[in-house]
Amino acid sequence: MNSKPTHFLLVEDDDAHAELTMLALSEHQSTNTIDRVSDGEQAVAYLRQQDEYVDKPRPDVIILDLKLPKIGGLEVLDIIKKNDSLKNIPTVTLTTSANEKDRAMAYERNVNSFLTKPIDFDDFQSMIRDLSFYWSVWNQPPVTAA
Amino acid sequence: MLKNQTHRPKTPSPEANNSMPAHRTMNSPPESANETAPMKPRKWRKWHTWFLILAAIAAPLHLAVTSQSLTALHFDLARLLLAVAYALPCIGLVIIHSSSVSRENAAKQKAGNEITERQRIENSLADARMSLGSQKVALDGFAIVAETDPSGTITYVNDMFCEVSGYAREEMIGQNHRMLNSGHHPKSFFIEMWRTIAAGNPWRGEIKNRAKDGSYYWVDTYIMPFTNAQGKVEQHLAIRRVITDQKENELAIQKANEELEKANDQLERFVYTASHDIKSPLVTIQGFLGYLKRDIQDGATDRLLTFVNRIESGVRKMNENIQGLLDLSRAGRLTAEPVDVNVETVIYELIEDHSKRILEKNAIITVHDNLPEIRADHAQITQVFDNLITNALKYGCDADNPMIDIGSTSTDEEVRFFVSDNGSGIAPEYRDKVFELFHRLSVDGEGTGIGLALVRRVAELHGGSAWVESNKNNGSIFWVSLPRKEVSLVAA
Repeated sequence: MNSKPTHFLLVEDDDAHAELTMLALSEHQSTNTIDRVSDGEQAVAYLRQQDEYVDKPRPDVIILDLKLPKIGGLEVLDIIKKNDSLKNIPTVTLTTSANEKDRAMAYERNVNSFLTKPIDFDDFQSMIRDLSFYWSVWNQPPVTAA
Repeated sequence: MLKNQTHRPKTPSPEANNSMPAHRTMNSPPESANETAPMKPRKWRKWHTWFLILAAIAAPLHLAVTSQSLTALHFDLARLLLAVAYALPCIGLVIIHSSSVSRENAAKQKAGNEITERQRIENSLADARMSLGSQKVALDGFAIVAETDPSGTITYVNDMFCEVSGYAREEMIGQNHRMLNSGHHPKSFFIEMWRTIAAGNPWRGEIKNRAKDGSYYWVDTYIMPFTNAQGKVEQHLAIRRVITDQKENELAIQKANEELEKANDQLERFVYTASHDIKSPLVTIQGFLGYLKRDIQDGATDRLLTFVNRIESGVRKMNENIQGLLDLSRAGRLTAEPVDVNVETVIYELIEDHSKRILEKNAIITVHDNLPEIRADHAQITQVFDNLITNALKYGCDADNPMIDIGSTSTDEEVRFFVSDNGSGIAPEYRDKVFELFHRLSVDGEGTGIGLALVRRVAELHGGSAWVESNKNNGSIFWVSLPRKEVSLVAA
């Protein structure tokens, strides 16, 4: 079991969706920390600790939307999984509607989990709660990723 | 069937005779029939000699008998001898005659047999010639026929070749087939062909050729190389069937299929993205309704207004997305007849519509007075300029003194309109992406990612194009090129 707080990076362009996800995350796991960036370019800069993100911590879990401005989610995933220092960070895609092709392409790029945002409020709440609980409590990351 | 046949069959064409290979499969008729003829006079000479000898004996005896200088006994004896001397040549002549007659008969019969055999061969040759001749007539009426030497130089062409290619016979003889090269096939195509026929194997393929008048025709081609006894290729015979119509249909079907596949892909992507964009505000609305409901149940009121505002913006977003999709579906095809559009009027009307936002942004808008009239779908062109001005106001007004310029430059073929701003501009790597359907560069929650895709689509529908360049003093210049008003619209 993980005792130290888990740091989430949320990559989401839709402000309302980001707010909903962060509300749900903070409600269920108050010790967790969350940062949000709103496009693929910012996500890559954050992970590389460039420019304004120079002091940002390395996230323990990345929640990644697929439809993102500038650099798309699949491209960001590709960058993460091809980078030796980033590839061990559990990356979960959280999209509005996912077709089979996106799912296949995400798994080809070694995504750790693929989730679709439920429309139902209770489903959305329980999914974010489970997601948070699973990755911050049950999951045992490798030493390098800690 | 023809694969193993390495010898050239004899053809009845006079041209072909000039180039007959040295090696033949068919033997000439036998020439031994005349060999017995010289024997006959030699035998005749032999019997003639005997006749002369007997005559030489008979003549003095005749003289002796007639001179009456002999005794009676001698006389009788001489007369007997004389009779014998006369009789013998006579008998000889009879014998000679009869034997010569029988010999003649034998020779005649032999010659007769030989003539029958010769006749038979000649008849079958004539039949073969006739059959080949009819085959040639049929082939000439059906296909292009040509012969070339091993280096590819044309040595024979039939009438159909001249007819189809548009070249006269004398223009082609002595030339290489390269004179018909359309440039359609890669070099490797002909290398493979030459490798096959140089090895003595027939080659078949479809070739696009260029006629003398520059038009193109397709031929289904069969090339047969013919070798001599040493296995060396001596010439090629090429038979070609014109298949231009068939080929054009084939290519048209192929092209239509590719377009359909492309359209299907686009449709699939469109449906996927459209459903995503319609579902997205629903997630927002449902999510905040959930919080709203919970807070009301709990009696908490401090966040209620925030949640209601989020729900409202979700509904607004939904409406925007649906409107954008409707606009896009309308832009898919031209519904209205193209009319003369006064672009200047269109622009001033749009500025009027956007006056509130222009004031908010404190932007200075300059409209250059050289805007030409064009011939286009009025509603769609209005939509194009509306989207460009909206974008400039939304994303190009982040400078201290926002300025938007609208104008045009013209050439003989096209009119280029521009809408430029002095905002923060678009990085080069995103300048093509911004025209992609549903692709948004900004994360402000505004916009649907449809506007610029629609601009490009309308421009292309009118036979033009749309693109963005970097402005000199930062900012962007969006260009829309349209053909001059005489140019008709292209079909969707």
